[in-house]
Amino acid sequence: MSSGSRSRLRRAAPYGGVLLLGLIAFLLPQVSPTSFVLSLATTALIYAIAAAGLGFLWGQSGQLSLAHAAVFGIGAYTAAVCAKQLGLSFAASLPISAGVGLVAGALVALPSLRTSGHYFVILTFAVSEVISVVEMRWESLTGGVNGVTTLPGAQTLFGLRLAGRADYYSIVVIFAVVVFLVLCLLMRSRWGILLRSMRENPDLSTSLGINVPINRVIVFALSGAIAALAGQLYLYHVKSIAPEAFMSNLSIVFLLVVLLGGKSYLLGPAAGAIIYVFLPEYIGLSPVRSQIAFGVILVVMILTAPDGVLSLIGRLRERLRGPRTEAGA
Amino acid sequence: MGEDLTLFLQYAFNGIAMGAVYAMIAAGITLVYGLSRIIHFAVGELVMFGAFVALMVWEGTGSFSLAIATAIPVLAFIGLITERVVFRFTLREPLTGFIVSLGLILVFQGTAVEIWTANPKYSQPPLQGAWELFDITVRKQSVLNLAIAAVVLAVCYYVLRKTTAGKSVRAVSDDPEASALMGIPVKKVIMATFIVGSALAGIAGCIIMTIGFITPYIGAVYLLRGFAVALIGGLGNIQGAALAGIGLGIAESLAAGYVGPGWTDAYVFGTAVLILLWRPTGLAGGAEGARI
Amino acid sequence: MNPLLRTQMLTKHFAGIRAVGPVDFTATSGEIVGIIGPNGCGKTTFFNVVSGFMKPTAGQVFWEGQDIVGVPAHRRARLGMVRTFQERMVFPGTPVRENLQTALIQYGASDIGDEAVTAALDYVGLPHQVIDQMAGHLSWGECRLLGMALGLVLKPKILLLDEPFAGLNRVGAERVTSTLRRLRGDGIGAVIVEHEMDLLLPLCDRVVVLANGEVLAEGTSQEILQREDVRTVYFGGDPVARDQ
Repeated sequence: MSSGSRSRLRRAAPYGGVLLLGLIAFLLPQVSPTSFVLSLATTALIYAIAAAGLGFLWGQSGQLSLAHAAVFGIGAYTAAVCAKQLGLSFAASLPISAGVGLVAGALVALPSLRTSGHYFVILTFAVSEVISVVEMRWESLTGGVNGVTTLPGAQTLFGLRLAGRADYYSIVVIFAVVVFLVLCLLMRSRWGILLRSMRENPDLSTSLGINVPINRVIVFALSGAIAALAGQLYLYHVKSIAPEAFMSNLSIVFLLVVLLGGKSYLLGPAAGAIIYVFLPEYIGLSPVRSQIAFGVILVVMILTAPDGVLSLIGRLRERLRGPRTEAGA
Repeated sequence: MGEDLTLFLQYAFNGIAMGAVYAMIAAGITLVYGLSRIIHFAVGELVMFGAFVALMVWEGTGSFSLAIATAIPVLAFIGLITERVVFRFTLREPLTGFIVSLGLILVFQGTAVEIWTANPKYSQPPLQGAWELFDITVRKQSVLNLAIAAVVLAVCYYVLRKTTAGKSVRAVSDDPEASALMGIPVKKVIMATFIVGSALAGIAGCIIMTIGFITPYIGAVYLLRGFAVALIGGLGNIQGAALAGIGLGIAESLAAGYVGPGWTDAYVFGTAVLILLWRPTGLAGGAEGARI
Repeated sequence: MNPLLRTQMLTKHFAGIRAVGPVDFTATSGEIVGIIGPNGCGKTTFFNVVSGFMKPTAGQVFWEGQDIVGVPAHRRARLGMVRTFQERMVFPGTPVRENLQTALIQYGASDIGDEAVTAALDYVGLPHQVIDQMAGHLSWGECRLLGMALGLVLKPKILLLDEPFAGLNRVGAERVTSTLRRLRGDGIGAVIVEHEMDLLLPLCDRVVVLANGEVLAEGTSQEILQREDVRTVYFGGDPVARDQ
């Protein structure tokens, strides 16, 4: 009996953890109401959502995409077109941008039906460059290099004002919690088990009857939908977007965010996003210098702690608890 | 001669001149990949660095030869440092090496902005003037660029095919373990390819400096073209890279000329993606098992 | 009676060089067929073509009388033809539990809890305590058994085993043997590609000898052992045969 309830508790723990962290994040405006901090926190959460999509893709199915930022951009542009040209509300355009992201994600994955490994990663990069060109040149839709501006006006969602700094932050918190709960559910589902098997040994998965290519396309589509959702949240946060915001550098940043936190941890992307957004502000680094610093951090992390900072906490705890068998560190 | 034909030949010539540069970048990519299995994505930034170094020396001294003579050792040195400090630790995990190169993109780009600012820079081409050949404008600088690229590629080919050093490189590319048993210093050979690959990107940068504006952000453009050429030519295949480079250059120039410059990239990369979907190991019959 | 699995003139070329074939081969459930031959004779390539991991250059593969050359590998597994691998036998980065859960899900099991997982461990004789270990941390022999368990969970009609004794010591080999002996009773057929004749022959109902991609001999274990040409291929100083 007691072991059964303990295992049930252990199974529920991650969901409880996400909800608890969500609640803490939700209370932030009460504690630190400066709009600067709230704006940074909103950005961090949006990055966390986008990176969570990539983290699921990479950590669970073992696929790497350099087109993630491009799909994020597609979500933002779709939301902008919905608002400006179709006059749709935030809520009405959400399923559209997520749907477009879903399709875009699946399209990015299509080459994986023919190629894999190195070739495939390079192809995702090529696809992302094609998307940037389209964003830059399809001026009637995207405003070209000048980009587009969308103002939310007096819209509300969940009774919160989209135009209000603290209110919008709270909306983003709600989306983040939902996304992380869904991903947690998927990671622990039967499908999650199949995805990890494909990551570890796709040939063996195939020999057990798993349709590896189709599942790859599906997981890409899912990560695309999440990226596009984050893209729409980003548009309503920064109000105006231009193509250079979604260049391949941002894909590297998402990858860094995933890697920083730890790609096999559900909350890795959240931890990575918080570090990525807040750290430069608090040490007062210029954007260019922080780019250099994060480049160095990316290199050092992948070489020394490829499982991210969350794994370092685990390692530290082991060292503190474990018997001191090593003679000096 | 008909006006249409003249125009076509003009575009084709411009394309060949540009394609030779892509072939050089691709040769570096292919060399590094062939031996280390690392997809070195920071190669575009190496090109950018080469272009800035060459620009500085050219504007400072007025000597283009000196500019090239400076860019080559500077970039070779960067290649050496990156291999010694990071890439050599990633030889067992090529994916790690790839991610390292992504980090280097951020570092190189940021460093370039710190040194040269983000403003576009332009310099007069070292060789002014042009010849008129059958109504085609042949800029002297283009001819010089083409000659530099041709000489560099020919030297690469000769070294790889005819010299003992080149034979070691090919041996390591075919079978690193057997090469080690035969007494070839595998690690030194791999280090050398990083040096040579970076130097090739540097020479490409010198040429690019003479063609148009440069900024710290031009890397991605040349990265993608370099890889498109390397992949279509077949990773690990230098002759394939040379042919595919010229092919891409001409295709791009024709697309820019007839369709309009704005959509060139989408058109060219779209085609590259389709070609790779059709023939994943490239047109020239390269293979995952690299052949240099 | 129609054999379950049949190949007809099955041939595979690599860059114009013949690796396998033409091979006519049959196997059916409840029967253990061995395929032996020196290294480089095309055994694994034959497996790859039969299981759908490679397309044949020519010839057909029939399953229950149907030509399945166009059927993708994962669908062949669902038909009841499951293969194992010689080198990468398991999912190394996940725990043994999850390895077996993958197979249980694919079998369509409604329960993928620890009881189902330990039942699969029992079948191949792996101890229960490995359940939480990373599969990549198991010993080579344990990996081999886990790899077989993964295939067996699917209750295949025919299991294709790629060198199940490679790299095993005597204890490991005995454990594999005792698992294989259970198959016939459970109505599972097996096709075993193997280099180790001594271990394989006592297990088999029928043996096929491949040399240079072609069938050199076929018959019961005794018949094969008496064939002079088989001995020449195996012990006659063919340099390829001494590899590994």
